[in-house]
Amino acid sequence: MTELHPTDLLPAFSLGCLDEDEQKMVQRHLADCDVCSAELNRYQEVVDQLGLTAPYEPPRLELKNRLMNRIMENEGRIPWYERFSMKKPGLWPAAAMICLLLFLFAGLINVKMMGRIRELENRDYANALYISLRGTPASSPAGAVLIMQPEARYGLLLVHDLPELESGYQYQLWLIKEGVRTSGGVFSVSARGESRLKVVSPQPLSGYDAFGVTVEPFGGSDGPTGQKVLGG
Amino acid sequence: MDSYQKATDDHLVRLTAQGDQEAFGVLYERYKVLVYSIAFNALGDRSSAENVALDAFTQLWQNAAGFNPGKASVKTWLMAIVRYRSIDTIRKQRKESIRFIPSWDADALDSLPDPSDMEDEVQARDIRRQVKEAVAGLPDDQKQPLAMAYFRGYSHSQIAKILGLPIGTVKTRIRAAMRQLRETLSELE
Repeated sequence: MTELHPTDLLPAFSLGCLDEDEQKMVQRHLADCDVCSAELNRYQEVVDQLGLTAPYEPPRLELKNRLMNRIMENEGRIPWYERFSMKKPGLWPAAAMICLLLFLFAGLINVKMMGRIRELENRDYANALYISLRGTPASSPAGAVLIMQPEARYGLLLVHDLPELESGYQYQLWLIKEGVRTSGGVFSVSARGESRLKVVSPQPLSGYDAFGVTVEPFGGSDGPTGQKVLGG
Repeated sequence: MDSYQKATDDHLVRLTAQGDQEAFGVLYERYKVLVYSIAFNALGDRSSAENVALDAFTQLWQNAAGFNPGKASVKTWLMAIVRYRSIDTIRKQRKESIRFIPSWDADALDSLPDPSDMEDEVQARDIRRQVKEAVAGLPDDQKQPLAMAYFRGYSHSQIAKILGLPIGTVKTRIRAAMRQLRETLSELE
């Protein structure tokens, strides 16, 4: 070893067989010395080749099976997107393009479906029947609209300006045909006097002669018992 | 399949990085003897050598994407991996007391595995022959401490203790061996 460079220690350093104190000293020196780093590289090239002279010893045949099983097990622990990223890095642009096309296709389908829905809605409203129910002098200006399809057994009653009832009472819709009154459902109104009732009847709503709403005990009655508030 | 056999190591590593198990299998076939031989010569028992060889090839599979052919060849990379893994295993097992002493190959070149017509393989076999001849040309008293340092990862003081030699003698012999190898191999380049 010269005063300036630990050249005598470099062969052992390249092999990794220096004792700890000498190893640290050489490491510190190498951090700032290009001359010794270059010299070390020449010894490192020797070390890199020494493994070639290990006595020939073939492994058992089953070692390959163990290896392939192991890497397949490892594969299972890696999330699919990481495996895809590692294995097919060149396919990410293609995958992104496919996703974009799928997104655009889904958007197109959505637009078409919305158009179809609007078309159906317009067709339904065009054929719908609207029956107005007017308030009586006692309940004016209350009113309601009953919306129905000509042959449908269901409809929608939209109510406005009916006063809130005391607890224990509800409004009840009556479907009237040839003097016979059938319940169309009960409802309560909001603080603003509004309500929506889905009406279901045993026969097409358009077949009834008239409709009325009365005040009935909570849950409704078999027939009208209270004050009439809407009619039409 | 034939194209895999003719592919270069670098190309096979690139394919391995993409998850190509067939390419990885060809690399295994090319280097299984070298890797296992280093591990077996370092550890001295079949089971430990197999585990180290498995670890080395698994590392190749997992880190193939990070392989830089500009820094080292696949062979050099694998040899470094298996050497360090073997030394790690020895240190964990604390087998110094067993005093297993590795050796250098003195076999004839005819025993080399994996004959091939490929130019790269022929060149690789030539390099191996040169290194073997260079090691064979070392004085006998230098070969043993050098083998213990390279294969077992022993320090000067450990080698001195095992061989019953003064530490200065061990240092001198290893230094002389490495210098002679460096000169011999550089003349051949």
